[in-house]
Amino acid sequence: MLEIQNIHKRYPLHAGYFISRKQFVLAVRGVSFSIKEEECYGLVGESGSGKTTIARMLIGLLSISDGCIQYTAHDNTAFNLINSSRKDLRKFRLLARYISQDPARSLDPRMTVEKILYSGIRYTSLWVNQKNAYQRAVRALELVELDSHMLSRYPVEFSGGQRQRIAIARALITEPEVLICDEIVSSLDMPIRKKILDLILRLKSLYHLSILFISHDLSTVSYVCDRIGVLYKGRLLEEARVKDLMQNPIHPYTQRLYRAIPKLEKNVFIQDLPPLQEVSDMPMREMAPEHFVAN
Amino acid sequence: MNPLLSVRNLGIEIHRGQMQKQQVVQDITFEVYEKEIFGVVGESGSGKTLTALSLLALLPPAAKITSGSIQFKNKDVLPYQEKVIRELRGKEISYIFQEPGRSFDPLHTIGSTMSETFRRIYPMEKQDLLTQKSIKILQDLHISHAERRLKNYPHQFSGGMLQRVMIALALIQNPQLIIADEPTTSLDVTIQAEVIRLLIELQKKRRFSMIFISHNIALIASIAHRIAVMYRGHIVECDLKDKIISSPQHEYSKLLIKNANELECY
Repeated sequence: MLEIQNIHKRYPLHAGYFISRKQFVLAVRGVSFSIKEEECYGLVGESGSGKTTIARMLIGLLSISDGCIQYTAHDNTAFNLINSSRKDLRKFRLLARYISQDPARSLDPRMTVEKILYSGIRYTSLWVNQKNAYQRAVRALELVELDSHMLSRYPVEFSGGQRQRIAIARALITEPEVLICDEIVSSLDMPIRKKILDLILRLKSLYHLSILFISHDLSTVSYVCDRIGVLYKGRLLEEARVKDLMQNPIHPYTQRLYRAIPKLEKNVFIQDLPPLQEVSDMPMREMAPEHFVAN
Repeated sequence: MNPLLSVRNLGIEIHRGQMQKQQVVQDITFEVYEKEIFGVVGESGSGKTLTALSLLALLPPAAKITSGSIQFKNKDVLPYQEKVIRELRGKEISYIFQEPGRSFDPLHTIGSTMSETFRRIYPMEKQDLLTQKSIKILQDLHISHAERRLKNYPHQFSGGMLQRVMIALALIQNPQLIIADEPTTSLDVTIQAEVIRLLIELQKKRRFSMIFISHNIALIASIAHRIAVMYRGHIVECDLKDKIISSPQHEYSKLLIKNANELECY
């Protein structure tokens, strides 16, 4: 189980290389949530709301300004990301894998698929020998429904959907317990988008994965996730199970996101969106069972 | 009623190296009528953008038109003639490009980009007047502090704001047809809704026709009057919106509708 407690992130506003203005941008201010085993937690919000910052803090790519992130692995090993040693962090990064937004940019164009997949385990404790790595790579490709003869090809030879599958395979090669999917379907067409989402769902139940799924689109998040948190300006405004959130969005900002989804048969989204209000600093309150709203 | 734009049996080929050729658009036929929103939906690589680019002779050098005809207001556009095309571009047909961040010149302020376009209609006017006109049109598109914003460079705008400037540029010469090529794909859903609403509002007010290209059938369905479904270089289905949504005929359209319905589970 992954637990995030009241994390903050401040980015310094640089005035120059040696000068600090002692001013900060508050990208994330006091976000708490937890992801259970075999659960998919969705974070939605517009650009600049702090989604990616949270994801990067989760795998130790960014330092955490304040707060606490804990993870208990399936074999009951506990990790604390705040004061963890380099060794622990390396171990944790094998368990929690990050899949980034744009597969065209996250795959090195000069590496073959084989090398790309190996790069996930080379120089880690999981590396035994070439033969073992090859077996792992083939298995990972099988999981994402790609063929093993693709190992010798380069990323340019694949379509966007296939590239995203390769990126997922690179994450799966370490047999992780947590997947952090940062806008992984935003650059894909609808039918391919749905196939990738179905793949994520299948992997989740197969390996009991905890998944953090980040997107700006409430409709894709509602398709894969069990619970959703709505993020705005670095703060959680509403958190609920998918069904409750989609059928009864309480916060005006959530309603705004919900109305903005284009729908096949209703032209609702051309109507006026509810205006944005100032967001207060109040913590979230439980309005209905497991349905938290800030007000 | 005479169509505003009529494309018949259009074929486009891409040359890869000396010998390799690939037919990317085949036998495309469609019409766009006055005051109509014509939606084109299809996956990436289906030839949507190439078809749209061919209307204004904007195809990349490797792409060649192999067959067909394009008529705008009953006048032939093909074969391209510099003089005819110059009259069309911006004045009769405008193009809203996919990624606003990449289609502006980063070295020019928004004001200078806009004046450049105004200069074409008013070659002899004073700069002040052009600035006034730029401010007016930005205000029409709900951009606040328009006067100050004119001095900003493209990187100082957010994606949604830049796309509004692009729409302003497309509207300057009052064209009769606007081609919007995935104008909101790189934007957030809420910003997308605002930009689309603005486009529809303007379309109602100024009564231009629009070709709206997207891969999202739900988006197309909520704004278009007629829809063409493109798949692998062909238009596989083209009909009124309601007919395509309620009873799609081609396998690919059926798949699109099915997917959209499944994603709309709430």
